[in-house]
Amino acid sequence: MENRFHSPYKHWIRGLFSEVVLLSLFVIALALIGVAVVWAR
Amino acid sequence: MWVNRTRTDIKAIGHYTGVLVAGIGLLMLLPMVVAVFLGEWAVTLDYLCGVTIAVGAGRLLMLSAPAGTRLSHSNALIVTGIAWLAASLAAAVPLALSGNYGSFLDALFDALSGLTTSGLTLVQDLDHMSLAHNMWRHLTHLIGGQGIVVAALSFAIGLRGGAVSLYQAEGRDERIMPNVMHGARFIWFVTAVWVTLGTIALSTLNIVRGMTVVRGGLHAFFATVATFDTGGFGPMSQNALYYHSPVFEFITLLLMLAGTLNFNLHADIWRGDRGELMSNIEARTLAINMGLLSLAVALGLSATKLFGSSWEVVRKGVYHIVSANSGTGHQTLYASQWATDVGGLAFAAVVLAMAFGGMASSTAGGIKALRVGVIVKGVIQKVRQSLAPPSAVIRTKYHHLTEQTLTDELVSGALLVFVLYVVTYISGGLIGAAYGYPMASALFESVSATANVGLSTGITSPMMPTGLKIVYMLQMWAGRLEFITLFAVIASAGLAFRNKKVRAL
Amino acid sequence: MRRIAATLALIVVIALPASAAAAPLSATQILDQRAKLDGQQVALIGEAIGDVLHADEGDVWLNVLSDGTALGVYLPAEMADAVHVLGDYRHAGDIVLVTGEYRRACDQHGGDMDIHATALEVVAPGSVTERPIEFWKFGLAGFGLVLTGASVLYARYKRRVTDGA
Repeated sequence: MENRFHSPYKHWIRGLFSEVVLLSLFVIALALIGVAVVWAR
Repeated sequence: MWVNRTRTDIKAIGHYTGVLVAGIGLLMLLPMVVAVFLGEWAVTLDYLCGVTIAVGAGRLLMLSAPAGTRLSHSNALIVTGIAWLAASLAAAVPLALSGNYGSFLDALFDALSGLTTSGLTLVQDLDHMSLAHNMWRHLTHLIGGQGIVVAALSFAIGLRGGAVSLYQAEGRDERIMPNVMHGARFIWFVTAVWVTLGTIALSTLNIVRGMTVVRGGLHAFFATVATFDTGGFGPMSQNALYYHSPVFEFITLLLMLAGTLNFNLHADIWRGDRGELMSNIEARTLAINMGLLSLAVALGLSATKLFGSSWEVVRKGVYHIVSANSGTGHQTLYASQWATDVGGLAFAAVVLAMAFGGMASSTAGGIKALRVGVIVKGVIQKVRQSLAPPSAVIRTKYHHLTEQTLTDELVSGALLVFVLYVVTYISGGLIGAAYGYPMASALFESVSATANVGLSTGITSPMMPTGLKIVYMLQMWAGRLEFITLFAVIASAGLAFRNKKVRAL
Repeated sequence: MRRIAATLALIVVIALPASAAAAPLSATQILDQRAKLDGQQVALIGEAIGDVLHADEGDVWLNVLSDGTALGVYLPAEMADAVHVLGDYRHAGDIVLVTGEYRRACDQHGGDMDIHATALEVVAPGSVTERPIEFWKFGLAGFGLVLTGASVLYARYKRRVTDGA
């Protein structure tokens, strides 16, 4: 909370990396929902 | 009480609108450089016309008040409202000269669609359009997506007197940083990083697949801008289907999701606070929303024979849910397939995804996850209150950047915008139906326009009735401004008109 | 001009009797009759546009445009070698006649609508499209230039007057 207005520039590469990883995982999760539905039918 | 605009107000509004139009004109230098680089001389001339006319018109408007004139908050609201139209008029000039549009109205439709990051298009013979013109079409996504004012701010052109109020009026009043200028710069920094990353990834893919370096690189840039800014234009008539590539679809999915993240969330994650993504009400709402709609689309598609396999469910179902929910509108189906091939449930899921939209303070459109989350929390609070003893005080907390308490004011504000969106979705659908289109398709197209998505069932075409073109343009404009700004513009114009009448009597 | 030439080529080929097993169709016709044609052998005629995009194991994608609709064609790379000119801003692409199996939602390619080609024939070679400069636009640019110049000069004049006063 206290870092609310801290500089976001310092660790931007790490931030970008975690965004890419988290969003990839999210896409995979959505895909798995789809696959699971087809499999369950 | 209604406040009337004075002559000074109108002059200030004219001046700042002029600044923004001139700014759009200067940005046309970019496609002009591309045209020169590619040796497309006829196109270079189109942009020479565009630059000079936009800068000229902008400078002319700027004469209405001296530089540095103060701009009040309410006037700033009106400037942003008008700026979208004025900027679209300027941006449409080179497009109209391209020869790929049936009329100036069609070019204007595309300019507005581009600036509002919608992605509906009336372009003709897109597959033979020059790369420089495509550069401009896609740049409108970037300019409009980051915000016309943010764009002008960061290039620091003559907004001295009105910068702060304009910035807030553009609907980005959640401050990322204490200083407005820094906030605008951070938005561009995130955008630059993501656009660079996306362009590198996609141009590698394109070049490996056999495209030339220039074409592959430009196509990659176009696709990156169109997805990160949740726009939806594409340089080929088949849109994302042109590439026939699951890798392309995966990379663009990431870009769409990154584009629909609140810039404050980007800031928090880049500050090292990954927990914010997990606890944020907006992120949670959006994740649950996309999860449920993916489930629905999977149920819907697996019931059809056509798209029944799991790979098809993922590439046609999940792809379009993310594309719709993030407000992008990239499409790997033919427009006419929506009504006949995907089945009722998948169709409905995509319409709902479009209607809900992405996060606030991003380039996404629609009702927005924050409002949906607040409304759901409000409903839960009401139920809890009705079950609790009368003396009990029920408080609901939620996390959005900081810990916040749910108030009736917040809920009613969210509900107001929710209702306005729904009314507009339905009215647009009814108007489409009145023009003779099937109700379901008309509703799909209306939602797509209002939520600035850009998926199409094929109603949006150069042959559509002029009246409907104008209706969709109004919807895209209203949706991008989230209504209140639009109403402010209409109310001021109406008041000015009424007063004139009164004076004449 | 280019479009007329393409249409002419189209008419000529369609009028040719018994050139293929099935009468050649445009991409729009195939899209419109997708339910009927699904899984059938079709002949598609249209302009090869854009790029030859590599897929996997020596197969490529080629997009073929006719009547405003472009359709993806999946074919072996050596078959695509016959195409020399691809349609873009500067070119009208080769007019090709593609025969193969039409799939409304191809199971192999994630539900993409495509044609798995068994034969490709260039029926009319592509050409360079002339993009002449339209001189009336210089007038428009001149008007804009005059507008800009006049506005800038007037603003400067006004500033000098107010500063002087």
